Amino acid sequence: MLKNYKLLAASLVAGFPLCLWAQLTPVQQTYTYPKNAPAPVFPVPSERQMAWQETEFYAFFHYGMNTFRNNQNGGDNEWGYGNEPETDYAPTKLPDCRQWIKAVKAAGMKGGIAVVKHHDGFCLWPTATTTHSVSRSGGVGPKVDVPRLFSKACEREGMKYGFYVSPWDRNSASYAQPEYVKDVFLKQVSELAKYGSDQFEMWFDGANGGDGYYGGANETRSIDAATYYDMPNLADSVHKLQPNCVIWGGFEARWVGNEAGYAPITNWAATTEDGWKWCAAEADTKATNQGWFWNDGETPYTPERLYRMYLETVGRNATFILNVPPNKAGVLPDASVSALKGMGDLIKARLTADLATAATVSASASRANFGAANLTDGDKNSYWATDDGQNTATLTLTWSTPQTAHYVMLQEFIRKGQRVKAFSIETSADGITFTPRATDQCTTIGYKRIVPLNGSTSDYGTGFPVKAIRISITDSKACPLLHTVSVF
Amino acid sequence: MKTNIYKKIFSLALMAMPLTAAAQTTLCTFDADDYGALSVFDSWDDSPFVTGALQGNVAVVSNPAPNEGNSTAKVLGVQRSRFGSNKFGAKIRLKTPFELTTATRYVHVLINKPVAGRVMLIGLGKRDNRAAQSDQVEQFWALSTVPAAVGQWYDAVFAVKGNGGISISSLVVVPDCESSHALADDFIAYIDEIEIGDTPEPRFRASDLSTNATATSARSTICRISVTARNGDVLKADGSVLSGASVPSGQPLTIWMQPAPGFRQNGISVRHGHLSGDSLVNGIPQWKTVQVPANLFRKNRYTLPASYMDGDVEITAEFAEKKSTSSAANRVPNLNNAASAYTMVWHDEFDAANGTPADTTKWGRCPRQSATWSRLLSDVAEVCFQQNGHLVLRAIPNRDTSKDNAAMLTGGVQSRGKFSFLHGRIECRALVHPHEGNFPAIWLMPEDHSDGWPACGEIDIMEQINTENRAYHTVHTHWTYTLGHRNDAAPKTSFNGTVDMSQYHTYALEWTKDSLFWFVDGTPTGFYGREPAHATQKQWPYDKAFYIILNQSVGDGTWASSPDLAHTYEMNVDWVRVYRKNEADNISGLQTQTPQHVQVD
Repeated sequence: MLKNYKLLAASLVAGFPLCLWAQLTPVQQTYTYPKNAPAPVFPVPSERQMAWQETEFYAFFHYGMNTFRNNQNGGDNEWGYGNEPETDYAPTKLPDCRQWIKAVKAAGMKGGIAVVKHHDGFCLWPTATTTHSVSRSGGVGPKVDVPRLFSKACEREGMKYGFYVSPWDRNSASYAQPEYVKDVFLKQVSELAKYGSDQFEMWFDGANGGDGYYGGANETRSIDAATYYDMPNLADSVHKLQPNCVIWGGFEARWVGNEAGYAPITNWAATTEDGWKWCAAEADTKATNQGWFWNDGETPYTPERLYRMYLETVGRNATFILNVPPNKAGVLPDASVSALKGMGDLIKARLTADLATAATVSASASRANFGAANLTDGDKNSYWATDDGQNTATLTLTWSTPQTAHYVMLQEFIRKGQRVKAFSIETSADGITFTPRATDQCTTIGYKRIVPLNGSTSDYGTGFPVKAIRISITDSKACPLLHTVSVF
Repeated sequence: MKTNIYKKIFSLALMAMPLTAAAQTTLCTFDADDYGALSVFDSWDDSPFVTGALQGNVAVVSNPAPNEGNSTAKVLGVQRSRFGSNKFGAKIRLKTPFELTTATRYVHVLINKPVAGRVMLIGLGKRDNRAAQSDQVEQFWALSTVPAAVGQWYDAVFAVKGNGGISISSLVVVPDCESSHALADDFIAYIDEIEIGDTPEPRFRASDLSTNATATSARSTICRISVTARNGDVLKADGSVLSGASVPSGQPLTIWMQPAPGFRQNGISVRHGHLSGDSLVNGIPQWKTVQVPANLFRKNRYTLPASYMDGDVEITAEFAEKKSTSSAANRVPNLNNAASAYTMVWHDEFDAANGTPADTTKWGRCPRQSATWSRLLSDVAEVCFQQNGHLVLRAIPNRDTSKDNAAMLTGGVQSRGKFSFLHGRIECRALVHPHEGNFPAIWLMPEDHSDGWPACGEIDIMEQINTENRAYHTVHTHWTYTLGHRNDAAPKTSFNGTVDMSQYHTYALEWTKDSLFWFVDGTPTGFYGREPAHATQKQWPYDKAFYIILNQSVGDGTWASSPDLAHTYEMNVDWVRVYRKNEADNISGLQTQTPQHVQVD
């Protein structure tokens, strides 16, 4: 981030235009950004939101009480009621978090989030807040501490980590009363915030209230989700211990709105074009055909289908959290491991060899110090920009020999705000005649946008022969800033 | 009505009572020593006002417009800097903190500023039970429910609430919660008479309401729909994507809830009206929220009345978990998640009256020929009719051989010459009844047979034989069949898996330019792809339109066993639906063939 601002002048100016009443004397101030950089378009992401966005693609691991009960009642025990005997969680060996994280690393993921308490309230770590935890469980359960095992495994693999802890607790007798939040929930969050030193996201499920065991009350309870969990102070305490940990659930990052693994093509980090708060979307879905937790007989989706989800999430300015359930043995089954590997292979095969780095890139307009060469220099902190007031521009990539192109990837320099509202992509086989591609898909860009030139996220196709590609920014909130253009 | 009432109430409040039973509590008047430290505030980490590169300009000054609704002498002025973020404002430390309660309360602030734009109130404070916590933690962010009046005093109202036990010790009034990048010059905003209470109504209304009228009057003729759904999705009645759709306003809209496996629909909440602005304009609510309980849905469908379609429509779907009453086998997702990326373009629900023949605009009867499956086909009514919302196809003993000497009569329909398609997704929900000799099928053949079988290509979506609880999915091509690659390990040409045939299942085929995927109840069961290396060997004859065949046949011992001649075989088809991929290449979109004369092979 550019922080060395310069105060140029602070002086009174006689003809200040808006001082009709002259009751508060206006101070004329000038402030410039270094090297002719443009002013931000607000809102902008915080440092931790930037780091989170760059995580892009990570795993969701639902493992716990439901893993061991799912098959007892026909596979529909996704949400335990809260009265499950602790001894029903009876693993015969410790969950192999290292195996989980290695498998998702092969899919191209950069981290993972482990469920450590689901709605049933059973805690997968030795908590001081309740006895409904691994400490009373069966098998080797009392030795299980998922946040410890998981954070250690991720650190060893160089992967980011975070935890899902359900605010809704169908076990706790005090749920829906202030005591639950004060004495149970916030303390659990504080306990979890002490695991590792670099958590990237804490996940607070939007499912809130309803029927449950509640210490034997067996009733339906409801809460005001807007106030009950005291998110501002929860976030404050987490950030003290984990400064890079984004609070998910609409506080610093938001749910994309579906669980089917896609983001809308037009996707603003501030939710809407005029949103006042930076709160980018995360898309959550399952890589398997049954529950979030393990079910006997489940199968993973094909690598092609998972790859399509990747294009429709990461490629549409959302982060992607993909669920793979560990089984009762505490490992990801072979079928999941190979589907993940297959997905990673597709990402590598189709989105790695960047043709743009060998192209000549020119821009119809560039700001001084922010030329088109910045688009292909591999540096996410250098970017191309236009002058203030110049909200449209055309970038042209040309190659001396024809290439075969399937995708164009664009990345805005979002540290200064998300700007682009519409753009177009055209390809040319001869460098002379241009044909528009994916014309119904070119609206917002944001952190990352991957546009399939044939318009299809499911059909890789044979690609288009290109000697030139033209990318035109046709509408933007302010001068457009792109740090990377890639062609695959 | 504007000015005097407020002034009277206000001066009364000043003189008489501080804060007891009165609904309103005065926080700052700026006319007395009733405010703490003043400064500018910016919640942007890199703000020059945070780093110290710039100093803010904020002070208590004379009222610049004492007769425009606020006649008090002193007010707070703040210079809105074009170098601050959209959350830049005047911070006022309160002499007496107030508690943020779980019940909504309303902070009223008089504001006078020269430009339009949203205003925000940010509360800074801490939890009382955290001794070490800073009292500068942002606790709420509220946009005014009253839009800004330009160049005159108006009463901005902010609804605030929070977890109990939080004290708010400072307020930040953000006079312009908009991006500053296009701001040509700084401007001065004035702030005065801050109160908190239980009254959402502004203390007075600005006389000039012209800027306020837009929200209610400028309604569009288009409704923009948004959907939030977990554990399922909400689609249009035809199965296409609803979220993000624009539909005509003032017209009813039928929606279709699609629970994920293990969940059932539990109704929706609909917020409709003018959603993008403030909730209240001039005391007029801008939107309504309506709960639609599950029991108002029929077959997961519900029609939103025209009166709801009056602006933006925000649908929040509820899906409740199914209790353990349903087994996995009973779950019948008629679409898996992927289908939301598709638009249904053709279907037959077979919902006609009992005994009605198959719809002749969609289907013809399969003619008798010499192949195993076609050797006993008949046009008699008893082997093909609609009943209880299904198409019933039968193979029956022939009790009258005087007209037809076939031992059995079997039923089959085909969409040949009436409907065929290239690429997309087809789904068919069906029940078969295993019995020795059983041989029902759901499959596709090309309109153009000119290459001859099998070079022309065949796609079997589902076949079942004899008493097996097993579904088969197969392709036949010149390459696989004639050149002997039927049993190759890769690419495989036939797939099968265990399926409980006592239940209905949804059999689907997803067909793209280069691939075929089979599914049973949304679970992938097979894949066959284009092999460019074998292009000259007719490995991929799937670049042309295919039509649909549904038939109940019996075997002859070549694969399925010879039939039990006294038995009545039956297949029940609940529906057939064909979808076009929403984002497909135009060239690979669906082709609907016009009816034509069909050459019988």
